[in-house]
Amino acid sequence: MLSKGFLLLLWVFGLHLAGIYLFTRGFLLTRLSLLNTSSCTSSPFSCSLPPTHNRAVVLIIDALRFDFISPDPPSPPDPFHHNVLTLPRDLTKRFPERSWLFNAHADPPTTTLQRIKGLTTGSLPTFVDMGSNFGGVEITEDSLVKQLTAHGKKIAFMGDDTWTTVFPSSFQHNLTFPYDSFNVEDLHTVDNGVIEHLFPTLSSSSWDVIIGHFLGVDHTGHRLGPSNPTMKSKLLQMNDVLTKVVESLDDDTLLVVLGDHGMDRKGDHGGDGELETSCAVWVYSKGVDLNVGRKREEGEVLSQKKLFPGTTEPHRSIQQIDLVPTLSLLLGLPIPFNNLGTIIPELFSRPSSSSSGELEYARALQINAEQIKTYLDTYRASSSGSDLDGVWDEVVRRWDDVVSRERKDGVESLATFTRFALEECRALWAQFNIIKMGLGLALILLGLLGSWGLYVRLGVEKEKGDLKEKAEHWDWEFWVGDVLKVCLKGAGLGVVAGLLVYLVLVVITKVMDGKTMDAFDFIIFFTPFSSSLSILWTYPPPIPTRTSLTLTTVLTSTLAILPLILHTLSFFSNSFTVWEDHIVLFLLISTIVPSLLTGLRAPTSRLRTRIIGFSLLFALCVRLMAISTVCREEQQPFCHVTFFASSSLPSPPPLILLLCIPTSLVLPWVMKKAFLGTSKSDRGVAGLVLPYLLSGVLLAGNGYWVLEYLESGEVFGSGWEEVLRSARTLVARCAIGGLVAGGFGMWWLVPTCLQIETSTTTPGSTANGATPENKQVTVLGFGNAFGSPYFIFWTLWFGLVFVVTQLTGQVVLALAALALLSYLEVVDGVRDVRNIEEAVSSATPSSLLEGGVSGSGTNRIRFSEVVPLALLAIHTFHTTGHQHTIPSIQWKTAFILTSTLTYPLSPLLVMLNSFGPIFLMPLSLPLLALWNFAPLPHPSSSSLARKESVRASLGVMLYFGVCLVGSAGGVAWLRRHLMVWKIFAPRFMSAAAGLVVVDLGVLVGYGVGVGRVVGRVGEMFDGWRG
Amino acid sequence: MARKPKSKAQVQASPSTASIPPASTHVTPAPTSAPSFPFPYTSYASLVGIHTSLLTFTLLFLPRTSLFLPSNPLIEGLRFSPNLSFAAGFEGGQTEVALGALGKTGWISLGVVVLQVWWAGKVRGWARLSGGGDRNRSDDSDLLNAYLSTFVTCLIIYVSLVLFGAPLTSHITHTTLLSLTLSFLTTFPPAYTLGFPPFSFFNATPKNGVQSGREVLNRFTWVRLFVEFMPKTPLERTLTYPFIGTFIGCWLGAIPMGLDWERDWLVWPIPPLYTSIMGYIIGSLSAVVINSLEYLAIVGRVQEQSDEGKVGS
Repeated sequence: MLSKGFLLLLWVFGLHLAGIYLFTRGFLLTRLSLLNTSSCTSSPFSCSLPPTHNRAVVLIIDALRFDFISPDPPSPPDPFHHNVLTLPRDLTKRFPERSWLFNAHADPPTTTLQRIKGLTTGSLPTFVDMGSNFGGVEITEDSLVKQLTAHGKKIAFMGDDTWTTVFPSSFQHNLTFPYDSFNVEDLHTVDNGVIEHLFPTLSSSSWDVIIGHFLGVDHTGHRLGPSNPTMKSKLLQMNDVLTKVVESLDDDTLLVVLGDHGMDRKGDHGGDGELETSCAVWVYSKGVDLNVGRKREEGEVLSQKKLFPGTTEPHRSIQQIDLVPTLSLLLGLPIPFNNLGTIIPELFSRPSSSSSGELEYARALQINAEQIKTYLDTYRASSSGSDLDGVWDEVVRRWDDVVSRERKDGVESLATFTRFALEECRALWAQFNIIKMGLGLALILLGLLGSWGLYVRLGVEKEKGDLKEKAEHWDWEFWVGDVLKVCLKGAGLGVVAGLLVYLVLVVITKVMDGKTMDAFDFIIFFTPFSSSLSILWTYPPPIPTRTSLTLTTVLTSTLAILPLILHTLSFFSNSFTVWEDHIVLFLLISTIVPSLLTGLRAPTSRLRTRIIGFSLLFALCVRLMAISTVCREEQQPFCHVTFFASSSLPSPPPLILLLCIPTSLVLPWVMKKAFLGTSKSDRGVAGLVLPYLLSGVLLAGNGYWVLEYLESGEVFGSGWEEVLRSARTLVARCAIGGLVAGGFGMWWLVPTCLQIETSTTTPGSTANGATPENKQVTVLGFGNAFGSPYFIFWTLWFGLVFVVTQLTGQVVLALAALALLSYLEVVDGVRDVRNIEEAVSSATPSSLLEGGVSGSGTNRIRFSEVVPLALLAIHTFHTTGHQHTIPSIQWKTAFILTSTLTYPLSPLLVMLNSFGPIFLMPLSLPLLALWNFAPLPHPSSSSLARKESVRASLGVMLYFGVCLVGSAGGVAWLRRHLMVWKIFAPRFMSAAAGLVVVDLGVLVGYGVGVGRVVGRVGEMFDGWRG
Repeated sequence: MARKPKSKAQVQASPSTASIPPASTHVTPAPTSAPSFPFPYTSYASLVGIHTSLLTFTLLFLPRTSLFLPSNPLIEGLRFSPNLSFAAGFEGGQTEVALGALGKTGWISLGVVVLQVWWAGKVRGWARLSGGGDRNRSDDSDLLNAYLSTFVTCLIIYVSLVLFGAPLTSHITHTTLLSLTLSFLTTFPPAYTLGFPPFSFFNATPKNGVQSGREVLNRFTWVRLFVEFMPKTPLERTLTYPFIGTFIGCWLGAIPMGLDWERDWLVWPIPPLYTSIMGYIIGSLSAVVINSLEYLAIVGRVQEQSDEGKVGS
C-alpha cells in the first residue's frame, strides 16, 4: 500500500501538473509546420494567374504603424509622427487605380522574426513550430522567397540581418547586404546601409525582386518613443527615400511598402495590443492599372473596414498575411503551401484574362481557396491533425457549400471560407489565452499556499484537537490521512463545480466561448482548486502570534527566504534572466554564510573544524563547478565557453581529458572513506556498490565519452568510426545495464549499510553453576543507519546521470556530489551547535528531558536548509553545459545507447542529460532528514524520519514552485516584451519542466528510497529499546 | 602614513583621563553637575561626522582627481561611454574603460586606507580612555599587528569575493583593490584597538596545549563582536556596526552587476565598492545614534539622581 506521505506528495504533484497544463495551454501554442511546397502540375496557371508585374520592390520599414502614413490620423495629430510620411497618401489620392493604403493586422507575437515568417509563408506564427527544424531558425516551410527562387527570380536583399538567418541561401550573393539588427542604440547604420545599396541596385537590372528592411523607425521607437523629434526626421528620411524609389521605378515593377508590426505608445512592441498589431501597407503599381473596368460588387467579407484608435473615419483593413497570396498571384507564382491569407480584391478588380464577363478576382479567390483547402486537408492528415478536431465538420460543411455554388455567386462564399479558415486556425495557434494563463497561475499559487500550510503544520509537534494528542508522539500519518480525505472530498466537489460552472458560463448564458475554456479545462481547474481550497479552509496555515513575532524570528525567516525572493524576482528582468548562472552562484555561496558564522561561534573545537572545513569545501566545489559554462547567446561577447574546448569545437578541453579518469577513481573512494567511513556506515551494500559498481560505472561513463571524442575528433584518422561507434555503444549499454540490474537490484535486496557483530562473554559461573551467556551486540554504522543506504540509492541515480553527461559535466557532477556531502556534514554540525546552545540557554535543563521528542528531533527540517540544495540543483544544471535556451540542448546524448534515433530511448536520454542534474538534488533531499539520524527509539524514530523527509520534499517543491510562479508571472506580464520569445518563454518552459522533474525526484526519493530504507531499517530494530 | 604621528599624539595626550572607571550599568551619583564619561561621546559624535564626510568625499570627489592619471580625456571618456555592461566590467570589454574603473577604484582605496588609519588611531585612543585595550602592548607592535591582520583579512576577502563569483583569471587588480578597501574598512580599526584577531579558529588549543587567558578572552571578544554581532559598549558598537554595514553593502552592491543598463559606473568593482562604503557610513551613523541615545539616557539618569540628592539633603 502506498504510504500516506507519498500520497500527499502525489497530490501536490497533481496540483502542479494542473497549473502548468492550464498556463501552458494558454501561453505556448504549437503548430506543425508542413514541408510541402506548392507547384502547378498541370499547367503554369492552374494554381496561379498570368503575372501583371515582372519585378517587385518590397520595402519593410520596421514598426511602421498605420497612422504614420494614414490620410486621417488620430486627432489631435502628433507633430512628430503624423502627417510626416505623406508620399503614400498623396499618390493614393492621385492614382486610386494604382495605389492603395491598408491598415494591416499583424498577428502577435509582433516581433520581427515572427513577422518575417508570417510575411513570407502566410502562416500564423507560434512559439514552437514543431517540425524537422526544431531549434533552428531557418524557414523550411514553403514561402514567397522559396517560390521566387524556384521560379528563377533573383532576389536582392539589404537591411536587417534576421532575413539572412532565416533564408541563408536564397538571396543573390553579390546583392546581399545584411546589417546587425540587435543594436537598438544605433538609429542610423542599418538605414544608411540600405539606402547606400538600394539605389545602385535599383538602377541595375540584375534583380527581379528587391527586399529592403529599414530598422531606424523601430529603433527610434524603442529608444526615444514615437513622439520625439528624431522620429520626425526619421520619417522624413523615409519619405525622401520612397520618393526617390518611386521616381526610379520601371513601369512593370510593383512597389510594396509595409511595416512588419506597429508600436505601442512607448514605442515598444511584441504583444497583441491594437497599436502593436496595426501596421501600414502601401501597394503602388507605377505602370499598370490593376483596378479597371466595371466596379466589382461590394461584398461584406472582402471590404472590411476598421477604425484606428482615436480616429473617426474607418479605413480599409486587411490581414498582413493577405499580402502573401496577393503578391504571389501578381507575380504569377503559386501561393505558398501554408498560406492562410486571402487575396486583396482591390488589386484584382479587372476583367479576367482567361474567361470574359468575369473579374479576375473571382479566379484569384478560387485559386486561393483551393490552396487553403489543400493545406487544411494535409494538416488534417498529419500527426497533429487532431488540432482540427473541433472545427473539421464545419470546414467540410463550408467547403461543400462553396463547391456546390455557381462560380458567380460563389465568390462571396469563397471569401467566407478563406476567412473562416484563418479565424479557426488563429484561435488554435496564435492567441494567448489570458483566461487560461490566469487560471493556471492562480492554481499554482493556491497549490503553493496549500503545500506551504502543510509544510508548516507538519513541523508543529502536535496537531491541536488530534485525538492522539496525549500519545507520547503525534501520529502524523494519521493526520495526513485526514488531510487526504479532505482533499478527496474537495476534489469531488471540484469536478461537480467545474461542470456546473461550465454549464452556466458556456452552455446556458454563453458568457464564455467554448473554445476559450472547454468542459475538460473547467474540471482541470476546479478539481485541484477546490481540493486545495478545502485544505486551506480546514487546516489554515498557522498565523504567527504577536509573541512569536520577535525581531530574531522575523530576521531569520526573512534571511531563509531571501534567496528565493531574489531568485523569483530576477525572472522579471531580461538581463538577470540572462545572467542567471552568475546569480545562482552568488545566492548559493550566500546561503552558506550563516552556517559559517555558526561554525565560527561553535563551542567546541571539533564542531568548529567540522563546520568551517566542510563549509569551505562546499564553497570551493561550487565555485569550481562555476568555471564550466556554455555561454548563452546573449552573454556574448563577455563569456568564454569552457564546457567545450572552444565555442566552435564541441569536444572537451584538454585539462578535462586528463582529469576525468582520476575523478572517477577518487570519487567513490572519497564517498566511502571520508564521508560514510566516519560514521562506520560504509558496510553492507555500501561496501559493494561504492568501490566496485559505482567505480565501474563512472569509468565506463568516462570511457564512452572519451571514445566519442576519439571518434568525432578522428584522432586515429578515418576508418575507425565503425569500431569506435560499436565500442562506445557497448560500453554505455554495459554501464547502464549493470547499474539498473545490478545496482538497483542489490540495493533493493539489502538496503542497509550495517554490520552487526555479536560477541559472547561469559562473566564467570554463578552460584548454581549455570553459565548464562551474555550476548554483546555491536552495530557498526548505527548512527547513520538511515542516511547511508539512502545515499547509496542516490549514487545509483548519480551514476545514471553521470554516464549520459559529457566529460566536462562529469567532473562537474563529481564536484556536485562532493558539495552535497559536505553540505550534509555542515547541516549536521550546525544542528549540533544549535542543540548545545538551546540546552545551555534553557533556564530549566530538564526541559530537554521532558520534550523527549525534541531531543531526538534534531533532524527538524528548516526551509533555510532546503534552499542551498535547490540552488545547487540549478547550479549543477548550468554547469553541466546547459542554459535555459533551446539551442543548449545536447542532442548528442540521444545516441548513447543506439547509433540511430530510437523511440522512446533517445528522447529519454536527452531528457536525462538535460534535467538529470535537477533530478538528482531533490532526490537527495530526504538525506537532510536521514543523515546521521539514529534509528532508535524504534517506532517514533522511523516515523520522524519519514515525516521530516516529507517536509524536506515539500520544501524543495515549494522552492521550485515559487520559481515557476516567478517565471510564469514574468512571461505573462512581459508577453509584449521584445525578448519574450528569446529569454522569458524558454526560461518559463525550463521552470515548468524543472518543477515536474523535481516532483518526480521527490516522489522517487520518498516513495522508493525512504520507503524501502526506513522500512527495512525499522524492521531490523523492531523490538529493540535504545 | 602621514597621519600616524597625529593619532599617536592623540593617544599620548589622554592618559590623564584614563583612570575613570567604565560606565556600564551603575553610575554613582556624581556631586558635580556635569557628569564625566569614560567614553568621550561628544568628541566621538563630531569625529564620526568628520570621518563619514571624508568618506563621502572619497567616494564622490576623489575619483575625479585628474592628478597622476595618464591623460584627462580618459577620465572624460568614462562618462557616457557606450557598450558597457556587467560583463564588460568582468571581461574587460574595453581596455580604456577598464583602466578608468581601475583608476577610480585605486583613488577610493587610497582615500579609504588613509582615513581608516587615522580613524583607527582615534578609536584606539577612546579604547584606552575607557580602560579597554591592553596597556602593556606597545603602539608600534600594535600597529604592525594591525597591518598584518589587515593583510591576512585582505587575502581572506579576496578568496571570498572570488568564491562569490568575482572573475577568477581576469581583473585581479580590481578585485585586490576592492578587498584591500574592504579589509581596511572592517579589520584595521578593530585590529588596532583589540589586538590581533584569532585567525586560528581551527585549533583552539595551541601547540603547547595551554591557552592563555588573554587569548581566550580575545577570541570571545572577536566572536561576540564580529560573529554574533552583539556589541555592548559604545566603543564596541563603533567597531561592529560599520563592519556589518560594509559587508551587507558589499553584498547588495553585487546585485546591480547583473543589469545591462550600460552605465559607466556599472563595471566591476565599482558598485560593490560604493555600496560597501555607503554601508560603512550607515553603520557608523547608526552606531552614533544608538550611542547618543545611551548617552542621553545616562545624562538623564545622572541628572535625576543628583536632583534627588539635592532634595534629600
